[in-house]
Amino acid sequence: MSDEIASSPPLMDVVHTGNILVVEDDVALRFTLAEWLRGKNYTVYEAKNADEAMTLIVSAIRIDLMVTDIDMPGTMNGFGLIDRVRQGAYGLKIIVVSGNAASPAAKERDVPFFRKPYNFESLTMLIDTLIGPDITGLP
Amino acid sequence: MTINPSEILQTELQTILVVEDEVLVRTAIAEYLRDCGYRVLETASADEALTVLENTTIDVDVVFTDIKMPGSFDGFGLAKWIRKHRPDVHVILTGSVEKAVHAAGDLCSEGPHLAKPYEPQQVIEWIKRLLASVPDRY
Repeated sequence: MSDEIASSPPLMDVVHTGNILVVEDDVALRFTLAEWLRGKNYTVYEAKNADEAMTLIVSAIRIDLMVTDIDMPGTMNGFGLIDRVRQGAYGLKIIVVSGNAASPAAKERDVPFFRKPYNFESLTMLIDTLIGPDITGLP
Repeated sequence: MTINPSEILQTELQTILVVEDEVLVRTAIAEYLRDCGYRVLETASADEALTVLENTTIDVDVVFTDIKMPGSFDGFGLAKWIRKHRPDVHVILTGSVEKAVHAAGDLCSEGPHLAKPYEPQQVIEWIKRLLASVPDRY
């Protein structure tokens, strides 16, 4: 094993970076996920519905990735939010979490989908894949 | 692995529950309090705050609440509920953005373990810039 490989950090030590928006109307689910992600070193913003999410997205705050619920009160649900974000070309990645199975509407939008209750580690791994640093170490 | 809120939210850090319906103001104040070392939970209404406070396994030391909010009760109503049901929790009532930010500055001066990261006036300027950055329609 070369010194270079031997000194490579193990995957578990990867430093997570990025700004994540969690959109969830269930307050306990919202801050549980938000605190989990903060514990992983992400900067996390919270919105209780799609309207609050849009206010944050169009503001001067930079957001790299949005994790959104689908069924939420407000002027639009999660699908409306996804459509609005894509129309606006805000350039953020999207992951859907929902209590329901992936519907045709979800499949149409071609977004990564997690059904509640979901595995936080799996979600974190996907977030890393979408916005994380290049950890392959390959030239 | 699914996580129970009470598992992830039990902490030795002092926890502040911020209750504010204006998302940009809430976000800026919550970030400021986190920067000076507190754990911060965010809720958008007194109703959401009550959901948190009724779960006594979630540690909350201070409730930092706006007064005027939509929902079934306002900040005064929330404070009254806390005095009766969670007398261990300290309540800070704020009536305006300026008052809220200066109260947050006072909390940062008190601790918990980091120095105050920046002056409250900078938070007010940041909130103004955030509010100005949002177009009327999007």
